[in-house]
Amino acid sequence: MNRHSLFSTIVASVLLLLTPLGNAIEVDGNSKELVVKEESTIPSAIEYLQLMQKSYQIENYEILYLSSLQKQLEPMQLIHGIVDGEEASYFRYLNGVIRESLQYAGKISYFEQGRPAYTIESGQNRSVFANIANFDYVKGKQSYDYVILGKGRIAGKQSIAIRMISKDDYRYSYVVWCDLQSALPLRLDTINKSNVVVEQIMVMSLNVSESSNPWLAKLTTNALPETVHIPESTTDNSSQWKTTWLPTGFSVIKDDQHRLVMHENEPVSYILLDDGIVNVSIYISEKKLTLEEPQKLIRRGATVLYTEHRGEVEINVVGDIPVATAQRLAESIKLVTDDH
Amino acid sequence: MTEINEQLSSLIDNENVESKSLDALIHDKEQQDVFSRYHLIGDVMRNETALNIDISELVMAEIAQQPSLATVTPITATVVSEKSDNNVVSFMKRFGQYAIAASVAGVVVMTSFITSQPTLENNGIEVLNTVPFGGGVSPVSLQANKGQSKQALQDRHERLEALLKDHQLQLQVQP
Amino acid sequence: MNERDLDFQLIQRIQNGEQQAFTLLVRKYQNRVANILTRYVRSSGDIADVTQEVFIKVHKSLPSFRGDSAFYTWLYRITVNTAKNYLTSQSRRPPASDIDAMEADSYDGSDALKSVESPESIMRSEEIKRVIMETIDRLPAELKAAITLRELEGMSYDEIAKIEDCPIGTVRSRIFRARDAIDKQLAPLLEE
Repeated sequence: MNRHSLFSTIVASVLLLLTPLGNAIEVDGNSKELVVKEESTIPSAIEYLQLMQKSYQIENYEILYLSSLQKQLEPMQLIHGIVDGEEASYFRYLNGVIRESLQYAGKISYFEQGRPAYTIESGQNRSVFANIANFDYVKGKQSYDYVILGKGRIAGKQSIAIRMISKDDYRYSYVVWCDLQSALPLRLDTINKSNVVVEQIMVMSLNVSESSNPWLAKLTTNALPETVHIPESTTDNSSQWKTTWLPTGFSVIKDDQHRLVMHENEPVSYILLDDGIVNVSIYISEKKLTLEEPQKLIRRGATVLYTEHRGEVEINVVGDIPVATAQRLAESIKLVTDDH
Repeated sequence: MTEINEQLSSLIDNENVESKSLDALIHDKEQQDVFSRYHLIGDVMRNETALNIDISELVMAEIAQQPSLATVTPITATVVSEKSDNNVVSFMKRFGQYAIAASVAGVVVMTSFITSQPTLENNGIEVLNTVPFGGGVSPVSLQANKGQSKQALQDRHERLEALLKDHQLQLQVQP
Repeated sequence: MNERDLDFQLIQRIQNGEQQAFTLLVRKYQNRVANILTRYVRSSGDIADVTQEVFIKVHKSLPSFRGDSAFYTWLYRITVNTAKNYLTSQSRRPPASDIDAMEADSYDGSDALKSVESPESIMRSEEIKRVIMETIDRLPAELKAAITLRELEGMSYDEIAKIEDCPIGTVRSRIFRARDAIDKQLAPLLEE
């Protein structure tokens, strides 16, 4: 895409987004100039996103937030800090049964009331805003346009809203609100192609501090629960199934055969896709579910679980993607004939 | 109340032989809670509380299930026999723990199911609700087909849940 | 064991078939048993399980308890044995510094081997400890002395009366008032 057409897309999108607000903006050369001027003085959308990403990793902060989907609210807390040069984060649910996790130095420990706690080795940050905080925004330009929507107030902070608009219908779009002072994310809306918010994360309180919470440092010195090792998947035995289609920006990052340890050790062929923001798991197994129709769908917020039967084979697609994408991915699954 | 608690206090200190005080204590749950807290105070003062637990009800429930006091079977025997089950079971038991990884990660977890009876309100359709952690109830737009038993639905959801959990686990452990 | 001894009274009741009395032995000793277990068992979830196992075992063996040693010494021995069985079943070796049952009453719990607990429960038990210790600090001197002599020195009311130079009834009342004052702060914390 050449510079000019990308630019027009952005302008068009800005106009598209501003128009419902009733702002009359003339489509002529002047408005283009205005945008160009702003770009040179204040950070651009992508620069804001990159600032946000850095802050999320290096700052010491505590947030109280609500996750909301399908009229259901769930209050949660995240304490993040740098302890001895490494990221530490403590997470918990605030309502109901105590569920907590602590991540530090390549390990994450899970605690749940009434169940044995355990640790697994993992360097993956999967905390609330981690998906947008770990995204490669430059690379992401092939899938999204980034547009500054405007300013607003979230959690008592002046913030800026940036829209990540998907260039196709195979992924969701997002609106990210960042605190203007700390650049930390304050709100994340996941939006489908009809502009409906399917999931929302909203920070209620943000507290940024110079040094990390001493309690967090203390937690990292506590003995960890026993580390549980994940059974090795059969790596020499990659899945005999392949996807014959992938949405732009997605790539296969794992391909194996393993067992569903939570379900009778059932063997499955497995493919994991990643586009930097969302992950999609595809499971191919023997037919296990009894369905009236050849396909079935469960959706909760942005998460979809799509099931398709093909003879005695069952394909399940799980991830935060639109239904159409899950459906097309399932259809694209083909058996690789062993010809060597 | 104060008088009773003072009796209790001296009972704890082995300075009371009045069987009435003990009778009251044995049969009154509130008195027992006070009893526990008075002991906790002493335990904390002596630094003998690594963690504060209350297993009294669990123990009493288990004792109630014991056949009789007379047969003294060493507890290790029962423990060993449990452990000597085949490997698959213990493997499953161990990895069943991953359930938490998913729930703590904040995933759709269908922990339990409430099947509401067909009523006029929902047009006579049995609606299957998932109860995610946290308490709220959100319908998942599933309905029981005539041919499907409750058990079949339950099995099916257990498997779907296992898929969702495995998905979370794969994400957490990806290199 | 003398007849005033609460443990003695409780065991008699249980041996006479009053099963409910056993809950008091559990309530009295569960924290101490759990504390001993922290030297052997690392995970807090397992500690609760093993503590439970100890009391079930105590209950089963109670008919054969003769009372020629203090109940706590006997309980201590069962706790340590159960912990060792647990370790064997976990195929881990017991810690080298084994503590003999004889030392049971004098052993000073070390902080070095505290169990793994969930962050929130650590916060909670620390809050409980803080509230108890702070309330004791604020008690009038004579109440503080009475409860300290009782709980830390293990003195009888008679011995305390001699030290404090007051009637036994006063000792009894002071200890109760101290407990009551602490309990007023403690009870709301423990309510779920």
